[in-house]
Amino acid sequence: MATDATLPTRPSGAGGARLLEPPNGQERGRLRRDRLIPIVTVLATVVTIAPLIAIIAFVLVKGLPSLNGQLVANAAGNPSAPGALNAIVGSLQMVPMALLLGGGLGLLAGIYLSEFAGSRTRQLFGFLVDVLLGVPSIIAGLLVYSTLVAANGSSAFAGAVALSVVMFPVMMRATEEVLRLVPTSIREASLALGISGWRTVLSIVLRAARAGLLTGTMLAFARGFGETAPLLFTAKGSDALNIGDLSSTMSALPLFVYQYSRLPDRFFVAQAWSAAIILLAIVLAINVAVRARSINTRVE
Amino acid sequence: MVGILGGVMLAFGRALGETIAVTMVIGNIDQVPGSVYEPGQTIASKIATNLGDVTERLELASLIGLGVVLLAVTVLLSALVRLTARRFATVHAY
Repeated sequence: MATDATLPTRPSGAGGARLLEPPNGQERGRLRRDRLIPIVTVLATVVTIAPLIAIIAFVLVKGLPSLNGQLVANAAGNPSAPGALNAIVGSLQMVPMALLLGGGLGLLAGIYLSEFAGSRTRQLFGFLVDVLLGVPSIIAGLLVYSTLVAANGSSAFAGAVALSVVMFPVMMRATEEVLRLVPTSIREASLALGISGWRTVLSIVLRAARAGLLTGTMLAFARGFGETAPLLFTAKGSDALNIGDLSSTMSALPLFVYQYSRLPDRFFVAQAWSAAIILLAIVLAINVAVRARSINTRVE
Repeated sequence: MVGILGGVMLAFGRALGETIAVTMVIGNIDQVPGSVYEPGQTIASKIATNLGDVTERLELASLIGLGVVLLAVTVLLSALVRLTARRFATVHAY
């Protein structure tokens, strides 16, 4: 019959059926553009991680030849076989001390903001701490220089204080955020059992958040460990091995890398690269550990 | 869009305050560079190179003054970002 031939073999006008036909010119253009954007963003991502790979590669290539026993066994002041022990030991003294000062303060301030402060106070101080996080670290050095150093001269203690200024807001932010992830019901359960407020915070809330607090501590430590600018005019650096004398100058790994890379001597520049390997390994190890942990504990 | 703009400003402030990476390569010469290939100076690099061996009160005061300028700009930038986009509060910390 004639009407049979004019019957559509598939529903006309439905979008699904149209797609089965090969795309026309205009559609091909749109498809091509649709594929282009992901490619551009992927390329941008590759370019942004390229520096990391380049840094690791360069530091290893330049630093491995002189990364030897002499570097980690002797201080830079050793006349026959200078090394970087003074810088390693200096970092291991000043950064923990700064962690004690700035980290401890950050922990307490974070507890206050999360547990005791009203929402207005929390907003105001949260804002101020965020601004402090954006302050360049050289300003921290300048602050300590014009106060502590102006009064008592350069010292390892001044260096630790300058580092703590940089580490404090990191620790405080991390603490506040981690504590806020602890469910309110846990606090209420503790209070309902007759446990006092401060005991609840100390034994229940902090305990529940200890994984996250450790993460925050490690982040603050890594931040302080890699900072050069706050130490430039405070701890100043020293070629002598300084153990425990907080009132005189002291070197640190980043400071050693900066100062020795500027010396007009191939040997010392190579040593700066080698010290950079140690510095990079420690900081990267901490950061990788933190990321791995935060994936497991779902706490950043 | 506000968030992206905030990110741009945070990145700008971060670069503005970067000291050591810049000091190592910029040349530390007090001149207005004629092209991007000529050595120059940033506020942070100027402080880093000169504060170590100041001898005059005026020089010290000038360097601290530079620090105040740098501080004011970075604080203004980050305050602006935090006030417009609270979500980006933790970008610096991690």
